[in-house]
Amino acid sequence: MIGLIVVFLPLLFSLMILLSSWSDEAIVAKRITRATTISLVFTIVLIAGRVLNLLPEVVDAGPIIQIHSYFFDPVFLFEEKALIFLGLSAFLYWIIARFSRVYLHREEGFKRFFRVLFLSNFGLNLLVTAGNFEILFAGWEIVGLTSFLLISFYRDRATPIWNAFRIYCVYRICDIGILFGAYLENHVFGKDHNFLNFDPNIVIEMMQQYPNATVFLGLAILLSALGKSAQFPFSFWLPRALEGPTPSTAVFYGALSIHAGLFLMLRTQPLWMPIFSVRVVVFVFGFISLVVGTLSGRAQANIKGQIGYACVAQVGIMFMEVSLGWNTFVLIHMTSHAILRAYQFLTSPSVVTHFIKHPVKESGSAFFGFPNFPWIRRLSIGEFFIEEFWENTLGKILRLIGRSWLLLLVLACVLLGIAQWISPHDYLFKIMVLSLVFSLRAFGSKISSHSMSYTIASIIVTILAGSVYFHSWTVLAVCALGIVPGVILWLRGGNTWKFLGWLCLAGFPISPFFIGEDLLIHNMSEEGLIPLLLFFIVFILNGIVMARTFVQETWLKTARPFD
Amino acid sequence: MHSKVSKEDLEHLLHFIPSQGPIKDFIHHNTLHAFQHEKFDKGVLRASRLYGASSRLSPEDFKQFQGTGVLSQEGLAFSGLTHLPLEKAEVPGGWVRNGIRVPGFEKYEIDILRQTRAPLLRMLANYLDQGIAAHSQIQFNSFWSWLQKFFSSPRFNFKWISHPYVQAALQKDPETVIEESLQILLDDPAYSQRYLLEILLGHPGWSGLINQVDVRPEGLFETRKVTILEALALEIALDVAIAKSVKGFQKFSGQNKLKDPSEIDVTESKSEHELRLAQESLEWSFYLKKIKKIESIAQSPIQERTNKVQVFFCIDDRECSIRRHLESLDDKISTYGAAGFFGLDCKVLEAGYPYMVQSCPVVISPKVLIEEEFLESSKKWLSSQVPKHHQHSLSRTYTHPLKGWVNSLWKGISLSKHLITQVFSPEVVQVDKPTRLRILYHGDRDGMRLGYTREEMADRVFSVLRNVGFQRELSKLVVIMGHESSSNNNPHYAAYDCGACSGRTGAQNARAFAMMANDSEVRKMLLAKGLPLPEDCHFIGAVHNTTRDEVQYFDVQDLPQQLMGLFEAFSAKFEKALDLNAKERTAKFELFPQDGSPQQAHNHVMMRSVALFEPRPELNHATNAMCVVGRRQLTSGATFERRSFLHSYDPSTDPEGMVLTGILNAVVPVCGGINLEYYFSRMDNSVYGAGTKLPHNVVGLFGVSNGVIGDLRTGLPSQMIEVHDPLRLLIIVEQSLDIALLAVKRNPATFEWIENEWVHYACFNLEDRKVYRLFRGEWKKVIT
Repeated sequence: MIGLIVVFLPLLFSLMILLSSWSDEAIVAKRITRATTISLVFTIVLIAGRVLNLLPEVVDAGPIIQIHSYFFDPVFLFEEKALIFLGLSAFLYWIIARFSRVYLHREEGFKRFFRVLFLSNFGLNLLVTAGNFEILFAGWEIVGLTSFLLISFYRDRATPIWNAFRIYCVYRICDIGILFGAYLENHVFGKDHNFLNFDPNIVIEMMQQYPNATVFLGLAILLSALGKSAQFPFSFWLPRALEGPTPSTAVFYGALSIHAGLFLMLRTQPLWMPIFSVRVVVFVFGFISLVVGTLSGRAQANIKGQIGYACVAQVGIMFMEVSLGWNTFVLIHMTSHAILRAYQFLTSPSVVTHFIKHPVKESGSAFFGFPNFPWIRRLSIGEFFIEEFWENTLGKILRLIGRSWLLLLVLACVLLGIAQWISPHDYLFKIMVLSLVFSLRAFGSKISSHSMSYTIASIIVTILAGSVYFHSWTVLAVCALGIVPGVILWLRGGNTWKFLGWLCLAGFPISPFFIGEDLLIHNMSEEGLIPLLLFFIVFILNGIVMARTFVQETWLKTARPFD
Repeated sequence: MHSKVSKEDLEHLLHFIPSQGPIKDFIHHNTLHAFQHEKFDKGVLRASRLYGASSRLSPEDFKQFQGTGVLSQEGLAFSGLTHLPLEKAEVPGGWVRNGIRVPGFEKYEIDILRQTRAPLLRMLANYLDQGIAAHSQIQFNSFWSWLQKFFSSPRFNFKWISHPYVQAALQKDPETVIEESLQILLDDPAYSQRYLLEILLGHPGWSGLINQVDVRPEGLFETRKVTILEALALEIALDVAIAKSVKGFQKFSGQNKLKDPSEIDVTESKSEHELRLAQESLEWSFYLKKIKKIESIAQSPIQERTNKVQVFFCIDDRECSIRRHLESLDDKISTYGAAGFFGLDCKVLEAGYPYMVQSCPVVISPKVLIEEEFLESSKKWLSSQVPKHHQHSLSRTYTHPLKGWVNSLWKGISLSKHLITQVFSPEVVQVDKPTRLRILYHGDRDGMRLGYTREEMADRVFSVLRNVGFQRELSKLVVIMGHESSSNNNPHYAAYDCGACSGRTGAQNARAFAMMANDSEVRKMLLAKGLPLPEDCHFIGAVHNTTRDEVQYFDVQDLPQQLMGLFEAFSAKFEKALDLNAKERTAKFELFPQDGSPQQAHNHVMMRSVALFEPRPELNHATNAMCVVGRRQLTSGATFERRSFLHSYDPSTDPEGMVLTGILNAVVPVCGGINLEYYFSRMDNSVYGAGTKLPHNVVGLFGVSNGVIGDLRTGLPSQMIEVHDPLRLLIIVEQSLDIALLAVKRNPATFEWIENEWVHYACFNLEDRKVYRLFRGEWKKVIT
């Protein structure tokens, strides 16, 4: 019980700030500092209780939603890793709340800041204590959304909004990994388990039975982790995220959120650790991130970017450590590193005084004895051109296809042809192709209201496909419960309502559509991987388009175009 | 047909970009310096249309001012306004957004600002960096040659820089590149200048910095050579590369666009007119109140004070309250105001500090260097001054893969303790540094003369003492009080120090001045100049920390024994005055309980100076609005709420007004610059100011930006100006009307400020003891 209190307290605080009419800054400040203390005390009690073995390790709420063979079962784990992370985040939020209380004094959005800060704390709590992929995904999505909100804290300027959106895209694309992970895990291991009760022997057995699927599962999880922890090839987003007030940057990108991907790897270790090839891939990506992060960081002439890339490099090392199985070591490294970076970000404005008084002149080559090759210099200054790469490949192709009906038609024909050829009687896939066409069109559309219409069309087609095909009216009802209010809220207008509408439509954990999506995945997974793949792509594209439409129709309208 | 851009054209364009240099020397200046040659109201409108800034406060602001009584009925009557303005003035779009370049590219769905900014700013930042990036410090002759060395290859390069056009351009010289590119981009070369201006204003902060580095290379510690031409050439080449990638690109046409900012229509709209009058009312609401006060003080008979101790402060508005407190605690103490560099045109090399810094107004190019040295016994000062963990927290070793790894394994855990103390009770580190100054000329180094000769010393002491009208008797103890500030975690720290010392501490100047005035040889020379200093008079240098309200005295050991008692009594009084001063300051701090005692207030301001989480270590010059040049009797009875610069001046010793001219030459640009920087930063904090400082990121140790590739932010952050009511400076001089006018007209540069109404000029007329203001060249009695 105490465990659940620890997990849900920040949500309670966030809602309290949201629903309260406290207009006086001093009152809000008093409550929030007290709230973090309560949170910290409960966390300490929890940790003590667990150390003394007075509290259970696994809290299983039992299936709270059950629809046919599907059930939604919140399981929470309070074992070593989760406790360390909970302790760390309770400590840092306790510090940061006090720091921000003065730092954000008189700042516009004082209440909003703490609201989002607590929500991010809740997301992280959910993520680290999650016992299965459903809860983990809920936490994951909340962390993603709060990240979006923290980066776009200054909505009077366009740059933070666009950066927030870009990072949301990365998160969304990387969600594909966790979705696949959830699916494959269900598929391969069955549903009746949590992260702790995997039997390594079963994994090995499964490996022999489905060698490809298990490797794929490991890689899918890795993809999500790489995205969330800003590892190669997504390392470009971390410096772009440093737009919010310094304390939120410190606690989120310096300390906690940056380690969330790493935590995912730790959490799902039983699933991929026995597979040697996956371990090698994890190690290699960690190593590349180390190199990319170090070189990019050392060429950064701004302090926050430099610390950001230093984080990327160290987390890269942690990925390597995880792949070697040095678990305790990683936990120590992570904890210490988180506090170090938080401290560095907090003191980063001092750098002018500090370096001018104590100039550090490094002699010779900065690249560790490498000769000063111009191409290394170019790569470092250009941060390995990763952002340009994504924009000029994925972004460009999607836009290109989405803009022309002709290309869309060609794509649809090709996909339908393939479907006809593989399984002529399977019409689920064919409907999903229609949904994909709508999604791509929405992505390519220049007018935001058109984008939204196409996206909604795409969502409706998907839901219909998923429910009619399986004759599951419950699915339809659950999804409709999320979609209908979503559309109404969106059409109602006003920034807040549109925001809520967006959350409902995007299947954020406050919307019944979140369960609906899970149900759709559950149903579709019975039909094999291919329709599911389309579903995931549609899900991601729709999410991105809705976020873009949202910012275009609300904040960007009043923001200063550049600064 | 050619598009060659001449040097003069370029010079002309450079007027319109900010002139803020590297942030370590924050020098306040008129944000709209480029428009100072025309009337204030016209210049403001022109600038607002050029930059897309708001030119006036909003009607809501005025309503609020009226509610709080800041805007009085009298003020409204003064400007003849019958009702408050209701309509908001429309904020113009500015030349960049509504120009040739941005809309031109938008037609092809290209956000040109975003496309060019990423490569350009990353390269510039890396090249100019003063020590954040860990790249090797190789000197290059120019930015262009650096580009040629590192970026002239299409492999592993930024997309647009690897474009053949840019690659070819890198091999030419910048001027040719600009000329050729303009021909490709524009159909009418008449718009070349405008196009270049739009490029520059696309990132005004960076353009301004490059220009400052170009014209004042000594502003950077690590020399970097870059010209605005090179930056322009690179960016315009990128423009061409992007344009060439567009299918069916057509040359931009400048049709119906203005060619030069001087063509901008500055006729007021109705709402602008009303808002201008409202602004005038706001200004005069305050001025009238203070002028009344001054006139009423002037009615009461002058009390001659018997002086035991005389204290020289800087004219800074922040010293206005401590002077009042000090005088009210002891009527044997008199205070004077003089520009805080105390006439010493020098650079200073502080002990333990690696670079020499200018310690006089920025317009002077000093030839003299004064060195501070540690006494033998205190070599360890450096390591004890800053808490070690703080010193190390930004160490670059954390970016090193292996050292960073080893460190991040344990450092964070050991830092967590400091994180707690930093948040709960920030440590106040006492700085104790026994040092000595070497002021006597003893040789040359690197083109600087080390120290002053005795003749030079006598000159400088004489001119400062003459300026304040010191021909009557000096008291036994004269304290020369420079000022400084201290703040932690604040990239804008230099904006808090002494403006007359180029944003540095005035400590060394005060100390050196006292040493000079104590020198017996110098005194002999002063005697020869007609300024006899009493034998037993002793000067003591000191520095007042305006953030902490602390004082530090220098060379107390040299004080004659018989003055020790006097000094101790004085310093006890001063401590009390500091407490009261802190208490007065905390009235503006919402986070300090208003019923706190002076002692608690003092502890609170001490905490502010060290807290990492405090974005407002002090409020600095916020609310400044006036400057009085005259005898202390004119102002001593009144409280000026820390809003007035106070310069001492005795009109009776200056029949020709020559001294006044000298004072105004310094006071008008320095105080006017401070005032207008606050004024415009408050008027439009996103265009003229730096926006909120909370998300700021330090770039290259020379500026701050939002995010990693935002533009450098110039002006003041919102935390510095939020309590500032934007009023132009009212300068009141104590003189007869004719001489006051004569004195200010002697220097056309100074007179421009006044003639064009960038500051108000008024005179406390000696004859009828009334205040007159200079209005369109005529003296007009303010209160009739």
